Amino acid sequence: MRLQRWFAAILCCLLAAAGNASEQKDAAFVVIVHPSNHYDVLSRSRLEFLFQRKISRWPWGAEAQPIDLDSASPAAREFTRVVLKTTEERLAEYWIDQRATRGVSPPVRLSSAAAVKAFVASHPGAVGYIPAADLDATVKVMRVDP
Amino acid sequence: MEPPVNPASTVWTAFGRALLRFLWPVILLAALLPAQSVDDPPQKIEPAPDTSAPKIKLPFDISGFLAVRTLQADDLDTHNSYREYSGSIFVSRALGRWVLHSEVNFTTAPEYDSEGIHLFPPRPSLSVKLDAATANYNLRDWLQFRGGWEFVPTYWRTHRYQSTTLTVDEPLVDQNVFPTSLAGVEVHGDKYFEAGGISYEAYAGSSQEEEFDHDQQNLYIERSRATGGKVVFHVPSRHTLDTLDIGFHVLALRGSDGGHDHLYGWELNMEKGRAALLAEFAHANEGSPTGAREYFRQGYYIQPSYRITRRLFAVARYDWLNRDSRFSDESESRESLGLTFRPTPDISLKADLDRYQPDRGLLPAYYGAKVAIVFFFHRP
Repeated sequence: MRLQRWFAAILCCLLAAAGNASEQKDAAFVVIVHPSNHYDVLSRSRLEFLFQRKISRWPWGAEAQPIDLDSASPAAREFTRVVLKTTEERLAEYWIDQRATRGVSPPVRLSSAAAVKAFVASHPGAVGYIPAADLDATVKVMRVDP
Repeated sequence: MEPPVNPASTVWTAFGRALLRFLWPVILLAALLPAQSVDDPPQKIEPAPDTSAPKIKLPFDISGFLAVRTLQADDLDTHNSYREYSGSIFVSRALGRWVLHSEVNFTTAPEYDSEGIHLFPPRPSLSVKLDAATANYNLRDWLQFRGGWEFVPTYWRTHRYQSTTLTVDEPLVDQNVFPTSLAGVEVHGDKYFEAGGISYEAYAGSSQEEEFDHDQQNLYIERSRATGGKVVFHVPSRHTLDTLDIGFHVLALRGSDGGHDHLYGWELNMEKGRAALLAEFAHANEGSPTGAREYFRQGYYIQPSYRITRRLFAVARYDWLNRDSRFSDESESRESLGLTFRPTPDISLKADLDRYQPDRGLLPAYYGAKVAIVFFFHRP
C-alpha cells in the first residue's frame, strides 16, 4: 500500500513537471533574421537596443526592422522578460515617451509566427522572434548571448 | 467670536475636495473593472495589427495627449482655484534616414508655457503653438543632423509631457534658468556599447524665452543667439542599477542687448527595480555687454519615486530656485508629495500636495494641492 502511495506521488510529480516543460516549450522563443544577415550571434543588450530602436541600422548599412509578436503570446512575454528585461507596462510607458520626444514608433506587432517569419524572410534588415516550434528554413536563427 | 481655524485641516479639506472632484473616474473604473491581483497576467497593451486584414493606413504616425490639471490656489486659505486644459498632437513620419516630427500644443494657461511659435494671436486664456517641428537625418546612429524648431535639451523640457511625468507640476527650475526653445541646427548621436553608452548634442541657433505680464496682459519674447552642447553618459553599473545616466549641459547666449550669458547644468537619472531618482541642476550667469557678471539664476530639484504596484507610483520632490541673486525675495523652495495611478499606460491620474517656502524662510510657508487627469492616444 505504501509503495502504491509513493508511486502515485512520483507520477503526480512527473505529470506536473511534464506540464511545466510543455508550457516552457510554448513560451520559448528563437530570434530570427533574414538569411543574408552577417551575424550569427548577438548579445542580449544589442538585441534590446534594436528593439528599443536605439540602434537603427546594422553595421553594413541595412535598416534594422524589429518585429514584435502579439503581446498576448507566451513567446512575446518571455522575450520582453528575458531580452528587454522589463514588463509590458514599462514598455508601453517607454514608447509613450519615445513617441512624444523623438517621434519614434514601437516595432510593428504581427499576430502570428507565420506573419513574422514571412516578414523577416522578405526584409534583409528585419529581426524578430517566434516560438521555437514554428521555426523553419526560410529564416536564419540568431543565437543570443546573455 | 469665530472658533480658530486649523490651517492644516483647511489644507486637507481642500485637498480632499479636489481629490474627490478629479478622482471619481478612478473610483468608477475600479468599480467597473474586474478585480486583479499583482500576479495576474498583464492585460494586452496594444492590439496586434493583422497584416491580412484591410485597414486604413495613415501616411503619418499621430499621437498626443489631453490633460486637465487643477491647482487649489498657492495659498489654500484664499480658496482660489485655477484650472488648465492642455493637449498636444504629435505628427511623425519616417522616410528612410529621415524622421520628421512635430508637436502642436494648446493650453488655456499660456502664462505658464514659454516655448513654441504661436499659430494664432495669443489670448490670455488660450494659446495654440507649434512647439516643435524638426527634420532629423540619420547618417549613423552616432552622427545625426537635426534642424528646425525644438526644445533646449534640458531633461525636464525633453520629457515634460503630462503623460510621461509623475508629478502634476513642473519643477521650479524648469523654464526659469535655461531658455526653453530654439530655432536652429544640431549635430547629435548615440553610441551604445555592450554595457553603457554615450549620447551627445551640439547645437546653435536662436533661443526664445517668453514672459507674460499679468498686469498689462502682454507677452514679451526675448530672443538670443545660442550655442550649446550636452553630453550624457549611460554608465554601466555591472547590474547594480538598471539605469545610471549622468549628463552635463553648457550654453552660451548673446542677447539683443549685447549681454553675454553663460549657463551650465547637470542631470542624473537612476533606476533600480521599482525605485528611481531624478535630479537636475541649472545655473545661469547673466552678463553685461562688457562681459562682467551682473547676477545669476540658479535652481535644482531632486525627485525620488517608487512604483508601489504595477499601476501606482509614489513620488516626492524637493525644489529650489533663485530667480535673481540680487534680491532675497526671488528665492523659493517647494516640497511635493504625490501619487500617480495609471489604470492603463495611456491614462494617468495624479495628485500632489505641495509646501512652498518663499523668500528663504523669511515669509511663512503656504500649501497647495494639484490634481490632473491625462489621456494619451495614438493612431499608427
